[in-house]
Amino acid sequence: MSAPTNEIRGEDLREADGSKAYKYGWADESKPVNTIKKGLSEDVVREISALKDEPEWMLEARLKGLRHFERRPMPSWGSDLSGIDFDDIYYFVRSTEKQANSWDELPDDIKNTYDRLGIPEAEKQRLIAGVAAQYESEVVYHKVREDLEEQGVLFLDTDTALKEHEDIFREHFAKVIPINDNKFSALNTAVWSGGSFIWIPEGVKVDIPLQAYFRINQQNMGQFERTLIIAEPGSYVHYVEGCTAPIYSSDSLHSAVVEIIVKPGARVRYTTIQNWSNNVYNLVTKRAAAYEDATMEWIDGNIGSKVTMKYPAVWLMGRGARGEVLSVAWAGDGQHQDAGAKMVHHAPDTSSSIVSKSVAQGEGRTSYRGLVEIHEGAERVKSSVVCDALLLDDHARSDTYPYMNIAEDDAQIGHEASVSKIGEDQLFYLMSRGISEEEAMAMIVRGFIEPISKELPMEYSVELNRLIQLNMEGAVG
Amino acid sequence: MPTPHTLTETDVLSVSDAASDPTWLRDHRQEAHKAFSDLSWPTRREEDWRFTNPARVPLDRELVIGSPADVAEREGGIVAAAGDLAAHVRLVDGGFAGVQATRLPDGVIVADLRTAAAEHPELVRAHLGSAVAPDEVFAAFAAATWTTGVLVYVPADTEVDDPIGITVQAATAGTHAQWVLLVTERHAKATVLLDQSGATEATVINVVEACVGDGSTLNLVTSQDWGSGISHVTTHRGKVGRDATYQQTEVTLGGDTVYVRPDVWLSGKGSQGELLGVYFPTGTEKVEHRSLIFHDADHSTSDYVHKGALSDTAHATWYGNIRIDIDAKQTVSDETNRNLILSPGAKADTLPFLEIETADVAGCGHHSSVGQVDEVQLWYLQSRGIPRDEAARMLVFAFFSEVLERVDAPGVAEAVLADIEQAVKAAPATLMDPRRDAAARHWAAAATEEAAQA
Repeated sequence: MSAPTNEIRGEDLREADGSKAYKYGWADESKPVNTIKKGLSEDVVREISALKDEPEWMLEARLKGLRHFERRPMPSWGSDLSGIDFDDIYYFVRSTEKQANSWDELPDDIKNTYDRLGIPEAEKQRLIAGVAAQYESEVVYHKVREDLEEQGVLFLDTDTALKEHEDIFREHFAKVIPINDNKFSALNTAVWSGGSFIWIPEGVKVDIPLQAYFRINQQNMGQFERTLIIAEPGSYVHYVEGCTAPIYSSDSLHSAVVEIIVKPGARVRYTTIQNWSNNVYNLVTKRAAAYEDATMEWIDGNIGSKVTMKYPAVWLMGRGARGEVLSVAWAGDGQHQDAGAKMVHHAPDTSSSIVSKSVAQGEGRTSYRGLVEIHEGAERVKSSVVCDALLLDDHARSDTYPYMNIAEDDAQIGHEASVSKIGEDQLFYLMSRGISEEEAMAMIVRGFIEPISKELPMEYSVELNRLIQLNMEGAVG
Repeated sequence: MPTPHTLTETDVLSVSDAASDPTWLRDHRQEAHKAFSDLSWPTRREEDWRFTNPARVPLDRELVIGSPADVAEREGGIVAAAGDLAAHVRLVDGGFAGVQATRLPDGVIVADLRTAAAEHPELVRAHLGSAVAPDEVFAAFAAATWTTGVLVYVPADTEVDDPIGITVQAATAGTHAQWVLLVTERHAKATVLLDQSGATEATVINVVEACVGDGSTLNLVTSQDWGSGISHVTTHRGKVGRDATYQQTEVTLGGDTVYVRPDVWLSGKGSQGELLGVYFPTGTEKVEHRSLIFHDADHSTSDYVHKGALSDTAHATWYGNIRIDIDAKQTVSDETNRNLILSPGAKADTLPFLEIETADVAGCGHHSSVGQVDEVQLWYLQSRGIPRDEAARMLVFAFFSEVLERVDAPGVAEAVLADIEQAVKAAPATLMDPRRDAAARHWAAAATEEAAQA
């Protein structure tokens, strides 16, 4: 494992005009084997379902989702979503006929993509316990370490899980996030494809992370993966996902749904480093239900995308359950990160903590939007919310929208927030030690987000620091 | 008489003609009505009314013009507690019930807003609607229909030492619409106390508009101490000029539904706004404070502290939004909201928002919390021989005193604490009940479990 470094590996990071480049902005020539025509209609939904040869109940769920999606208005809060043209999106693109379980089986174009992203290398070094790679609408590569398979751990793509484990799938599908939860979860239900399905048997602790990698390659593509994680009592799993896409002139849409069920005494940690290119609308619904003495942790990094609206949630359903969200957001020119967290306490003696750190640069905008809700009967709840924002430029913008709704008399709820800019004296001190202004600023930013980056697996922590270094370039002057 | 639901342009013009408004004021009302008719009454689907059901504000009550002659003076309240007053105005329902102004310096006007509109047209015209535009439906309704109001005008370089008292009473069932206009010119200084009470069944829609001139100081305290038949929607907004200081205190102690928008618009360089507030809803009351602090100028500062206690099944919503404009550099702002929940059925929402468009802030933060009277502190006081109910009262007092001692107006803290004492005594039996001691419950549960295991 390599130590953190400031050196930028791999791609040439500069555009011809010297502007900052997005490292994953290349597209490959992969030819899809199956693409359903652009636009959304009942026919498109039926076609997706037919291509996947699904049971009737799933088609019905999809059609129900479509009806809810059509009926519900666009959200009037949050980001400007007027740039999304739902008729100009491919809702399903199949890039290969057969899922591979060795990298060499993949078509060269696709394999090349993951090579450049460094995924096979990481797997070879056994830094990860299992890998899923989703390309466009479906998972193209899948592999789980043999010993985990022997213990009964299921780590499949969601399409395969529906085929092979229909009972357990149906029991949990759309239970944490109902079909009509919101406009975009309804859309996902209508056209979902791919995603991860994880089932950890009782008492099994998966010691190193399971990992998924999402890639959009096609222009005007919509990616709608559906992830379902079920942690049986006393189990533990850490799931990590990363996301990238090429830079196109027209926008793509990523609208995932992630449902997690953390049964009594289990613990699930879910880490996302979202680095979509700056033409992706990233509108994701993520929610976990945590039962008695269970722990759910979301670590949510939002670096890329044009617009992100994402509020990982924990519904604390059993006595003693604990929820935690660590959120870090970075917004540069043209980006709006509307991110946050929701903690909904339904049971007594539950606790939650939200730590949010955001950095806005150039004309970027970061918003923290969060909810802490204590329902009647949820006694002795403790909750704390801390959000800090750092503004690097005069025209950067930061908003804080915390909602707290409390219906119990013995809750202890606290919220603190601060907004600041990099102090002249801090910069001066570092520069007087011979550090360049740019590096000094990057150091301060790294220090600012350190409470979150230290929680990441090493290679992700390195990657996050590298992304910040990259974003900081040209930030001075 | 029209109701808020049925109001037409003809109704507005007949209100205006009945009062022999000058032409410009008639036009002003007509324009406000035009804005009003383009807006619609709120529904729960609107963000601003998510937490207070607008159905709690009846809009089918007829507009009341004028006031009955025999309404007794208000007993108690912040105006009565202030001692010597520079002037005292009474509004009852939809009419002006008199002014006593014996101790006012030269040039200071404290008058019926309608009279002032005729006698000082330039002055009133220059300021009326300059801080509160008819861009929100209740404010637009008040601008079109106010049947009575007050002008307080303090000319440049003039200080009014004693407070100016305004008493608003609701005596007759119906809808009451009022407008209070406060103007402090350059380097002027004044304290205004507005006390609102009443025991009838009424919907009170009013506006307090404060134009705080450059370098002037205005302390405004508004008290909403309504009976359980009153629903009240109001905007209290100060537009604060260069280097001016504005302190606005909200005291919301009663009313079926009280919805207050305490806004501050820091429009002058170096202006300072301080928003203080206490609220104590009981029974089934609903209180919402929803405010915007808008920093529109460099080096402006704001400090916002609201504290509330809730008992029975009361529901309080506090929303504070600090917005810092892209061109407002080096501002300092802070907002704090603390809630004490005294009964199991009470509910508090707290929404401390920030919208910051520039990095060049000198400081910005917010804090909010919801909790209860601290058992450890109660226990400590009890161990010193203080009875539990007395100890609880002391702690609630201490909680509110932190805000009230900052109010720069005589008598207010004492009067408000006296009212709070009544509320503490009257309402939350649970507060006095040792069984709600969370720790005690916990240990009792543990003991039961142990016994069961044995």
